[in-house]
Amino acid sequence: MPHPHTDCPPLVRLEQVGRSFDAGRIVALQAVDLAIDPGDLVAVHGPSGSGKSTLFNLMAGLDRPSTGTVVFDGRPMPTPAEWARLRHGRIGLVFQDFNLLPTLTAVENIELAMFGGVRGTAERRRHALDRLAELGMAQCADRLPQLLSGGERRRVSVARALANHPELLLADEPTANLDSATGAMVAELLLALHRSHAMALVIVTHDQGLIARCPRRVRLLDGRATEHAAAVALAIA
Amino acid sequence: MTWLDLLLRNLWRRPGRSGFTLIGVALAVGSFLTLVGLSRGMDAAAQDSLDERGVDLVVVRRDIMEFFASVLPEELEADILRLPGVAEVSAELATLTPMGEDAHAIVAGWRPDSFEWRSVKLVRGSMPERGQHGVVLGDALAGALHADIGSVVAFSFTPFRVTGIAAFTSALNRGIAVLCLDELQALLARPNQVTMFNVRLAQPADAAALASARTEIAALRPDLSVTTTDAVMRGNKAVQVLAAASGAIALVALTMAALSVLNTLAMAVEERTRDIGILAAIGWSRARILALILSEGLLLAGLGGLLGAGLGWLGNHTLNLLVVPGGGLSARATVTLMLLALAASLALGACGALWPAWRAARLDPASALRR
Repeated sequence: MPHPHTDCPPLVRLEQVGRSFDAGRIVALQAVDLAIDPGDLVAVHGPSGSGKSTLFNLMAGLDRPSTGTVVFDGRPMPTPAEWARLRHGRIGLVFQDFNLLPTLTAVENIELAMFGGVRGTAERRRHALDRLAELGMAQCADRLPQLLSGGERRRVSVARALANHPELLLADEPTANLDSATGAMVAELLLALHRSHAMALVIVTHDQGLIARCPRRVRLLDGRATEHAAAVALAIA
Repeated sequence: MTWLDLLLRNLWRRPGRSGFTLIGVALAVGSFLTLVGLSRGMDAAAQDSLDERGVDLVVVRRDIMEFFASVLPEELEADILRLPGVAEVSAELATLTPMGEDAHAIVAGWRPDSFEWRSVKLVRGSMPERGQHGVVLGDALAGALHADIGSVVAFSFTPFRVTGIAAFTSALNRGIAVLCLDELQALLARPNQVTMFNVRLAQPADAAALASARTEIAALRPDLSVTTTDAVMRGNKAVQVLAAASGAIALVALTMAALSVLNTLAMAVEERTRDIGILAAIGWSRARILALILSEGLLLAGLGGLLGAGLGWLGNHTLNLLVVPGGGLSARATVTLMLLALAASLALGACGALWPAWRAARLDPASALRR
């Protein structure tokens, strides 16, 4: 389902993508077509087990499809090394489980994402502190993840995802495991970042409030994707 | 955060395990240095001792199990002296004997008219007269025996009066006891027998003359071994056995250390599968993940190697103090040997880390993140 949001080619395009496990006995995704354009804001939703996380992994290059093709910026089926480079520079990931390294402080977790870039040690630190400050987390820079609240951890993971100024931010259940106020704050934060950083944002979520604020909504059910225009979806809601 | 910070933080996650691995590497490197230092030190000690006495060539019995077992007829001295290029010959009877309660010493018998006898510089006292049953002690041996001029020391239950304290500088000579050749021959019941002939050449710097003298001396009898001072210990079977045993033990120790590094890092990779998945997910390449685990192994081995170099130095020092007064064994961990040991420890760190690092780099990020 191509979505000609801009004149640019899609940032990520999934063509008839399927993913199965256990020698084909478990089918997670079937024949999914999806295109994410630069600057898009897309919600991916659906019940548990519908294939949302599998779709997240495929768009991030963390997993490879069993069938079909994933194209990033016109390059079909990047190699694992190419995907690593893309995640290092052009794709930022926000995980449901935070996935912060427990032995590193908040600022060091962000610096970790910048290793291998052109920045030196001091520059990495300064840039990481800037990202934390941008998310209102400067005071937590030297705290270990276990000393942070769920909301704070989420913001640190968002700051890490933004470390290298990605063109595409993929967020997996960013409001899950948070109380409603913190969840709402994180949702606001992501949407604000989407606007201020002019990047494509794909949010995998159950959060109806967050889904309602996304102009593009992709519903997954039993591994199949259907896209609803915002107006239609709102009417259904 | 620097790369080194990251490595230290990772190793510090399991301080006990990392610490024990580091100690394992240190012990292996320390053992290596002590054992190899001991066998190399014996070579060096013998050379230093002979060089200090102005010896150019050493003639001993060929294919002897150990140095002191060499037996040669004293009259061979005249034959050697007649050869072209030979300036002087000193017949020496030597034995290693217990002295006092804790000390051992090399007791050497030289002829009073020999160049070695004449070359002895004394701190105090004088060289003994023939028939006087006198002895000159190296200063370290005198210190170990608490002996001075006029003291009486016993070899093979026979008393000898100390007439002089020698001012040698090499380790073996500082622990030596020198007496008249005929008195030592009588003491050991080896009349007209010597252990070796120490040869001084007319032109020692002339390589051709030296080679020619070696050939000429060796041609005198088929059972002679003629060596320069740097190689004097190499023909000694006991030293060869010691060197081989030392090398084998050192190799086993280093292999154990490599396996210890491998075990530590393999467990670390297993425990940190999810963390490695996170690194892959945030864009770390396989090469960088491989480099991370390899660097951890190199850091462990490097720190262990440095600690082991210290242990090796201490081991050699202790060995010297315990066995022969004045550091007679000259077990020595030279800077070159220490650098070699450090390089070996880094190599074994890399070997031990390679497989865990390869495994970490090959981890599938999605499945690693599910752990």
